[in-house]
Amino acid sequence: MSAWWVIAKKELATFFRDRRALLNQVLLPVLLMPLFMFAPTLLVEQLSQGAVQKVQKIAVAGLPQAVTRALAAARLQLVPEPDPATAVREGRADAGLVFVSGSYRVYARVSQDGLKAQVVVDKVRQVLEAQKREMVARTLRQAGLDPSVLEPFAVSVEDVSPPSAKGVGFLAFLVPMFLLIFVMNGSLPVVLDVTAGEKEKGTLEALLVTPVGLPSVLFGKMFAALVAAVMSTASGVAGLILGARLAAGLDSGGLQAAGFSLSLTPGMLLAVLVTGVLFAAFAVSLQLMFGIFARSYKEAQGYMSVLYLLLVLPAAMLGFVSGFVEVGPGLLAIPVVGPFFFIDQVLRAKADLLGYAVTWGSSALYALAALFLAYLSFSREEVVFRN
Amino acid sequence: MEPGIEVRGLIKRYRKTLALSGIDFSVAPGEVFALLGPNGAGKTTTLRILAGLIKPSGGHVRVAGADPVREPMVVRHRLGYVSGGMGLYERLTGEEVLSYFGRLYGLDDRALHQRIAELDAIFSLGRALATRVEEMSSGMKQKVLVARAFLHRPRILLLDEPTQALDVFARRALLDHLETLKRDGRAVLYSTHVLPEAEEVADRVGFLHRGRLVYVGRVEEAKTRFSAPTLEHAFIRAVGEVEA
Repeated sequence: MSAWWVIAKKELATFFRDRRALLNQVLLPVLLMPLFMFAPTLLVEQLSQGAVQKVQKIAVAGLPQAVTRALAAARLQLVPEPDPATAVREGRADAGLVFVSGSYRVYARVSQDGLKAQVVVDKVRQVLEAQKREMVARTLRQAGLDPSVLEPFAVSVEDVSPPSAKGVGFLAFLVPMFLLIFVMNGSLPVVLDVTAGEKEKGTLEALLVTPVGLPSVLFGKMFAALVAAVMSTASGVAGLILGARLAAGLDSGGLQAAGFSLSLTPGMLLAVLVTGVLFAAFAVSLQLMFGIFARSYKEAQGYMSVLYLLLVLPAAMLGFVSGFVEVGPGLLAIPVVGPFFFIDQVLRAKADLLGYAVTWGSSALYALAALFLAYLSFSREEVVFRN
Repeated sequence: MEPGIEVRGLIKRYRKTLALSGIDFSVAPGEVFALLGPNGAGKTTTLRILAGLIKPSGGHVRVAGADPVREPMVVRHRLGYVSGGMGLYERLTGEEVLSYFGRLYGLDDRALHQRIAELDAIFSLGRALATRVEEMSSGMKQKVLVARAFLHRPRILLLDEPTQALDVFARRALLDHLETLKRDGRAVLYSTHVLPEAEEVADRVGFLHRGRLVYVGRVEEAKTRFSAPTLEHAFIRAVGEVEA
């Protein structure tokens, strides 16, 4: 049996016996991802619908009769107030409406009440817009004109994206971001345990005095951390997809429109998996390098937090502008950012052969370079015995 | 005769600190050499250099006929090492720890099983074999640690505070086993600050103080040389002479 495999097996056995780590890294992502990802969306939807159905109190002043009737018909309770703005500010009404010198002014606690206020404002606005259209139409008819002159043509938008890309919008951003997060988090307990943890417990010295070459020691540790990272990532992505399926079962139309519908072909899944593993090899090697440098578990946790922010934050921030970025070989060759955009491309069925070659080739090179840096770190006595 | 340990003019510098300033000693096969000194004297540094874990800044070292810097794998195959700061894997049982290290030393399943049974007989590992390290007493842990160093029948043994935390029975078993090792021609470098223990097991001693070996010789000669009733008194007087 190869020495690296003996070491990897031991590290994995240690990891699998740590129930807390298993729960945090493998089980919780499957259970919590659906909850975190889709429960808020569904909740907001339910609350918005509830707010639409609810009868809100509107403080009004100086409204024409026609508008008053239309507002009352739209499930709004009108309360005459000399100063509607004050009534709203003091919480005596959900919104206020004043008609002065030919214009309507709507008062609401927009910043304070957020979505709840927005729903009331929208209800009022819809009534006023309908009133406006009716008045315009009446005036045009009185002038002998057909109201349809105001709409000489109609505009419609058709989504001609491939079927796999339809409805994936938001997930194309979320999947790569969570993949990076899960890779970094998943490997963490193993990396901390096999580097600073071994130093702190005094087991590293016992291991290094065995007739096993440093490459085998490092590769065994890296392999175990990689398995933990891949397990955690697979669990997280599975949770994400499970959440999407569950949510689609509850409300398929709304979620597809919001970009929460994801259907992966086996090829796409394999592409995401290979990209994830290559990124994980890069991230785990960097974690090993910093982990072995730390004097203690606590110090290593500090380094890992910084590394996490350095790797995940830029990619996550770039995700917000992904739709505007021209994804070419140059971008795909950048560490972290490349795999992030590549997975986005895969999920939108836009990845081409050059993209595969550049992303996987550069990721493999970065992983090897990071592994070499970790090797240099492990081979320096002032690092290994820095305590 | 197979070579033991040879140390000539060994120097180790950590940046501006001189940890070892040119020490010389040797350990012959079938001999127990006790390296004695307080914390910070340079004992652990010496042992780590002999084990090929750190590189010397100067001087020459041979362990079982090999150079730990140029041939670290050869040295490590022939070496058993217990250090005071060493620990064990918390979530493994004693048997799993021994199996893990045994496999790293190249033992197959049959040899491993047989060797663990032998070490169980010597050190009374008993319950420690089936108990997870996290549930072991410190004495049980130390027994497993010591047994780990003997797994591959090393020709050279570097034992740094090996009886620390051992109960009286296990301690006795280890000290008695040293006699067997001597008869088998193993070279043992025994580092401790428990001087009565060193007086019992060592053929020769070396007094290490602030990176300098201030005395090397037989136990009885040390007592005579410093007019001391015990090795402990001899050590204190030797250090006192240097300080003066």
